[in-house]
Amino acid sequence: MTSASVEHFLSQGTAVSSHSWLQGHRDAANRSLTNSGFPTRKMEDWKYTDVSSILEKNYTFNKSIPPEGIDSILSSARIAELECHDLVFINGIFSRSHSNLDALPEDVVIGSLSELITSHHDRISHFLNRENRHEKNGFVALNTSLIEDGAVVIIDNNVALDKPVNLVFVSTSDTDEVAQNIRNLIVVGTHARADVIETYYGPDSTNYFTNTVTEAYLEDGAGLNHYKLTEEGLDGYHVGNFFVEQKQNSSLNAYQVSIGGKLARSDLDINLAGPNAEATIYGLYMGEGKQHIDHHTTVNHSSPNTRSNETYRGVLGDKARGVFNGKIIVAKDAQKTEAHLSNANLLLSSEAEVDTKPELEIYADDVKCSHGATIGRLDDTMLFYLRSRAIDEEIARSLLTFAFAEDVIDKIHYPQIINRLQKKVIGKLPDSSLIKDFVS
Amino acid sequence: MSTNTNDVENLVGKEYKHGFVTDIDTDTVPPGLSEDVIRLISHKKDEPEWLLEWRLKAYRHWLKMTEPSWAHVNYDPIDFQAISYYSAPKSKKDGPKSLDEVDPKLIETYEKLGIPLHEQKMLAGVAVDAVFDSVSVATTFKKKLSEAGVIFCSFSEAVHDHPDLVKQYLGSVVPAADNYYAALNSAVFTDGSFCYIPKGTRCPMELSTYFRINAANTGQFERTLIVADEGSHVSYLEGCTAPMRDENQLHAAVVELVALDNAAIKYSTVQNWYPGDENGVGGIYNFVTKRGDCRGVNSRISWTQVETGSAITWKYPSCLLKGENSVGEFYSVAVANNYQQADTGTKMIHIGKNTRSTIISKGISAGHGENSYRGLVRVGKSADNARNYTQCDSLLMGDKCAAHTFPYMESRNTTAVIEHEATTSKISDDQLFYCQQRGISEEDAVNMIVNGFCKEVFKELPMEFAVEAQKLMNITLEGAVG
Repeated sequence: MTSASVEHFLSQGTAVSSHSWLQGHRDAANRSLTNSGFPTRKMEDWKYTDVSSILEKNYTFNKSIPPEGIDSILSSARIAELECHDLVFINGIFSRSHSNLDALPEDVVIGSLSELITSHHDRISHFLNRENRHEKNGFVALNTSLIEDGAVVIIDNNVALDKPVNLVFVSTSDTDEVAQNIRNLIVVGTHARADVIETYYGPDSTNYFTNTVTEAYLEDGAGLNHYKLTEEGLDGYHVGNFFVEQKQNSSLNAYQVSIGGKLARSDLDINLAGPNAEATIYGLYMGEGKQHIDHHTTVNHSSPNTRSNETYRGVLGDKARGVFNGKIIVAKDAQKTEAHLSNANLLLSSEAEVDTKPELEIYADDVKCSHGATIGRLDDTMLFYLRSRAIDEEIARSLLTFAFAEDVIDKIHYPQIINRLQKKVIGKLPDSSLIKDFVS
Repeated sequence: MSTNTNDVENLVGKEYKHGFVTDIDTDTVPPGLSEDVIRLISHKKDEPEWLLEWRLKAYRHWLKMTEPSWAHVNYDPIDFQAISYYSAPKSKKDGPKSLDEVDPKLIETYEKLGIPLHEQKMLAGVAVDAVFDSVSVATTFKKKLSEAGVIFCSFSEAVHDHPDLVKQYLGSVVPAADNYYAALNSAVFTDGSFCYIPKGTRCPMELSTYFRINAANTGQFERTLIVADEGSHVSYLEGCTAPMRDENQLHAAVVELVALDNAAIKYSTVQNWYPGDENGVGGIYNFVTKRGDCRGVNSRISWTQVETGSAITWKYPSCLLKGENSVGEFYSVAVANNYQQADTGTKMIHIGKNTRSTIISKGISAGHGENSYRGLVRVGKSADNARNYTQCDSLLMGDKCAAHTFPYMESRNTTAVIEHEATTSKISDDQLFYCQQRGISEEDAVNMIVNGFCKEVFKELPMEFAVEAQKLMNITLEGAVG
């Protein structure tokens, strides 16, 4: 099955690219996928996640579909009341008419890869797939092999972007087996600042597949706040890889929220490659029904004096399954590293499942590293406290569950995103109308 | 910083204290592994047909398996055909009736190790079934144990004297084809210990076995089986030292524990096999499968280990918590010095209701040592109210060593509570400064801090072992003054 699916997926690529450097990457990725194939459960990183349900489909990639009812989909995909530079991709293809790039400041390059690849060929070719990303796994290889469109955000040195960039990726297909392949590139120059939001959104009832890769490069002293909101439809499949390369004194705040998708896998690979680089990561995943949500993170402290702090929370109800794997690597000479990771999971139903594995791989001695992971249910004493104050059990449970998720949500800077997530989280809990009163 | 570097240099300079070879004629089978060798072993040991069949089945399965490569260790591939699979001290043939008849050199070996085998060493009340290479040589305190109804003998004796018990429990916890090394062990195991505690009996003394690897090129494949019947209690001690060798020696033991209703087994190990020299040459490969089965309600199995030796340790003493209210415990101190590599941890499989498990793991890495904790806590659907607490801390000494943690947690039950905590750090300059400022020498301070770091585990060891473990730790840290 695997080799057949590799063949099918690779055949989805377009004709030879007019850029020979890009064709080089595509060919390398092609070879790598042909040789190694897609991940299987025999691989340690995919032990708990079976992707065969994606591979057995005959997806058609980046199909242009008449955007019927696109406005209503977009209005729910967009973040309400958020002032931002807007890039909209429909089924993996950039839609200028739905995007809003009118008020772009100078010294920034923001737009779609397909449009900018010619005009900003030098800078894009310098960064895109720089670290042979395609070698990570079959999905990144597939993504590289099919590179066509995606967002490009390049911020010049010493520029602080005025508004966040909101990248909206929607799938609109009303027929099954449409897939989107998205490749994003974010470059934040020396002492520059940017906020980037990626929203993945799709209809609930169709089987589609999103394969996305984002690469971010932070130069000396750069700052990036990155939000990834995975809100795929409940029959949608999502595989995402986010790579970050940080030079000295740069700082990253990454927020990874997964509340959608039948199977949603998000990988985050951070390389703290310069002294004093710093990364803070917050993650939240909520699953219900038969959702399968998987987060894998790797923070590589390859330079001394680097810091990372990672907090992930998971709420699993019904028959949902949550997977978390957080790896911290401290390289041989990365002394004075400080790395902390915590993962807490709440199981709401007796049929839900969580598999978590926080890992430490440490090759230096002068370090402070810790990780912690918990799996449990709502605390009986907390429930009792609320019930003794005449709050009925269902509401008490919902309130406590909400509070558990809120710990991550309230770390977000934008009240508009907080609002959106609060509504979504509450919407998933029983008695949601009643809790709203408590929350607002 | 500089002080620690010196510590490590001194550690590296320390020689293995138990390295000596005893010259005894051994009855050794030429190297190589085949069905014939297995038949020969079985024949030499005068085994019943069913056991030979069991061995051959395991061997045939082993042939189909591949060596596991997932552990975080590196070593040259093992040539299983270059190992001699049977080695028995000649003295057994002469049939020693008492300690006087035992080869004096053997006794000397034990004396050098300070093993309480001879009378003056029985003070601690320890009965020793000493496995010297592969065959049990001397057994003490047998009488006292048999008065209590406790069966404690070598595995070969058990096969002859208590075939029903052996047949019933052998392979019931670690099946013959469980994993690569367990299958190999099942095919070629030569001896080991067998222990049965009858219903309602509290074993009157700590049981103890010392394993030594002596003859060159002889992998040792012991098999230990401990069965604690309803309401019984036993504490079992296992300690290991091995002489200096330049070739890597393979040790693939299997330990099976069975605890029935209300029974408790405490299994303690001090492992101090030859770790190889300061350049990583030689040393024992220690690939061990240890598993306890809490089969009955309210049963309890507790593993305590102090691992300071071996070039490579690959060992995961585990508990299957099947009975309701059963308890599994794992306390471990693992030291990886010079070029030692340790990949060790535990598995706690919660199956019964109200099962509890505790994991305390302390890893110390020095020199070029690599220390990994690898653990699994799995809570099945039926394990209502299961509870696990895991703590694994690593201490790094020197900038060339490494410490890793790979804890797997899988929960399928909403009423289960699982907690995992891990920290990694070096001995902080503040702590050292605090001690030295109060007139404590640096060596004492390092000793104190390390012993404090391990205390949670040491206090779980039986008295005799706790003393030995502390001594071992201090020897390991000897000369750790900057």
